[in-house]
Amino acid sequence: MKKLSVLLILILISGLLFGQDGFGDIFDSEELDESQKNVVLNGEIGLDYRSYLDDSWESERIFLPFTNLNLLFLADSLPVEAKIGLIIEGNDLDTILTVGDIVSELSLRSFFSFGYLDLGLFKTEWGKGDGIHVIDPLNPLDQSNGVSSDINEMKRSEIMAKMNFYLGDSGLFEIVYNPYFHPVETAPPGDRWNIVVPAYTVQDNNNTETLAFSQAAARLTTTLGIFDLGGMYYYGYMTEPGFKLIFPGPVLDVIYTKAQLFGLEAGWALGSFTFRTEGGYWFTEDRESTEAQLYNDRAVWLVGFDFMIPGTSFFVSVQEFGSYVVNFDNSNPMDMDLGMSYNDNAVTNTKIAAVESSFYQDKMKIRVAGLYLFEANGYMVFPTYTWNIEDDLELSLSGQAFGGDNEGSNLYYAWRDNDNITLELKYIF
Amino acid sequence: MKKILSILIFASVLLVSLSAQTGSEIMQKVIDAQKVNSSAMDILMTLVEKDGDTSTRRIQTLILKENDLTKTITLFLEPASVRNTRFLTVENEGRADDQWIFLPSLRKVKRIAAGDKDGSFMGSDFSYSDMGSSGSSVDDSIQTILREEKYNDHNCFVVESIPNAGTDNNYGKYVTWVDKTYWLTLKVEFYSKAGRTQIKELNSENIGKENGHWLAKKIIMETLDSGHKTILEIKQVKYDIPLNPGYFTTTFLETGRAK
Repeated sequence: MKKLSVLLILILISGLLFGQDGFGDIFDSEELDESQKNVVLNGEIGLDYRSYLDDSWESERIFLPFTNLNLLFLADSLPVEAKIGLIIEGNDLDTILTVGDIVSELSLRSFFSFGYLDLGLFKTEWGKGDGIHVIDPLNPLDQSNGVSSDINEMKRSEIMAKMNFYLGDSGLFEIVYNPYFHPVETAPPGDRWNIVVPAYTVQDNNNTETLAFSQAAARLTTTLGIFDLGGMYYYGYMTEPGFKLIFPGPVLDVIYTKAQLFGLEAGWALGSFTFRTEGGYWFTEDRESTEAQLYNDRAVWLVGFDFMIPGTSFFVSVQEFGSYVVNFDNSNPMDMDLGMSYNDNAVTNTKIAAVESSFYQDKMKIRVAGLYLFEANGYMVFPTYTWNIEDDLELSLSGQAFGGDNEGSNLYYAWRDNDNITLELKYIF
Repeated sequence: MKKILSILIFASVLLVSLSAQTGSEIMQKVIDAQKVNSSAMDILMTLVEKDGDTSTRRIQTLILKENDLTKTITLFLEPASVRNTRFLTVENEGRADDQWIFLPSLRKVKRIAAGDKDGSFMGSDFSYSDMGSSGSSVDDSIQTILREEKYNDHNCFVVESIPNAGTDNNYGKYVTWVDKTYWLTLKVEFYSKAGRTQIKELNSENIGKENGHWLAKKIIMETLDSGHKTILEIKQVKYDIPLNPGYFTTTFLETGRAK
């Protein structure tokens, strides 16, 4: 029934809005093609087959049809755009779907002379990093299905109101209000993508979908010479939950840490290199490290660069990101910062590198991405081979491998039995 | 990718930068004939495999000159995998161009370095440097007028260009046929870095006049080794039209709307 409701909304909106893509005001309209219609439907439909390599889990093979639809309604004559994103996966067909399960985006963008307003359910990405960020707090990650090479795909869409004010030709000032809060999502105990099995029952009495958990943020970005610069501020909660042991029971009561994040970002190109940096500081309500169930202040950073190896088709990207917990207390075994640390270390450092190359007129692409967590020898490796059989038909073979020390909440160790290969065929339209 | 307009004359501008007086005069006429303050092009690119299979790409590009510096915005319309990707290049005086790309899947504008000069442009037989013209100087090559001859019923100068040692160039030699009447490049032979083996060939067809400017509306680039061809057709072109400067901003990249 809810599926029907969604379709009805689509039909209604498509009847109300119209518009045109491309430089329609410059080129004669009789030359405009399919891609320049007022309602743009695009997306992917396909099948994937994933096989897990380890025998320690019950044999699990998945063959899933999937659909990823995006409908964009444009209107040159109206200062408004609407976008609907739907993701339907085969395994969901056996379960009762809610709108939230399949709607990845439902947003309106309204234009004004001084800026534009984004309203609805959507994702936003802050920071200059390539996919990875340390100052991007608005959409929490969903790790319940493991990890994807595209971190943006793992983000949970959130209901937001985001006003964007133009500042000259290249500047933008964004103000965001998130009425609700959602923590990072992890797989439940028993699921192969679960990270830590708690020793006690966990109870979460927080209703984070109330205005009491609303968040606000602002960001200013501009270009100065070769530099793209930005600064941001966020007032809300840390997405990782804290736990307090409560008696009788005992049970672990979930507590979210109130926090503010101040961040800076810069990106610039120099020769063949593009450099990316982010830095931030979380001010939390446990600055003095007196509450074990809350997180302390934290400094975060990201540095990276990418470049094309001269004379080749190899593109290389390297990034390192990390954090430092202020007033780190390794004397209290119940302290959340200690529990989330690796080898009782206040610092974590992770390096990500990727190499990719295209062959045969871009018909084939090989990409190998790897991640290494220094403090726990955690690693992930993602090789991918992609063959564009046709422009709109793509076959890919990819793999994931995980490992690391049995240390703290090391998810790479927790996922050590989840090495897998995936064969995917998709049609892009 | 920048300055798509220049593909019509790029061989001449890039490659036939004559130091000899006669050659310089010829090249100046070519440049003058193509000089515009702004342009808009709707381009269809057809990739032809050796076995005859074809696939198409569609782009629209706007070019604006301000204070003798060029800004280019390119919108990718087809195929579906790149639809609504937007690419902005801003030429700077005394430093490298600024380049940003907007990928609709990410909904994010990214600054990128101009490092992939050798790479294929959208899987075509054109490299990124083939599609561009900035960064080259008339002093970058040694040019020799080889002869004058008829090519496809056009009276042409045939000019050999050899890039100077140490210059950043994908090729070791070019031979260019320049039409004497319209000052257009009709044919270019591209040679390997050693300068001995021809690796690509470009031919211009459908010469016509648009808004007072002569141009080739069809350009064919062939990679000789693979037999792969790319046919570039100008579906629409407009010169010296008023263009909203708001198109040439990162704000347009992000929103698809000019202020």
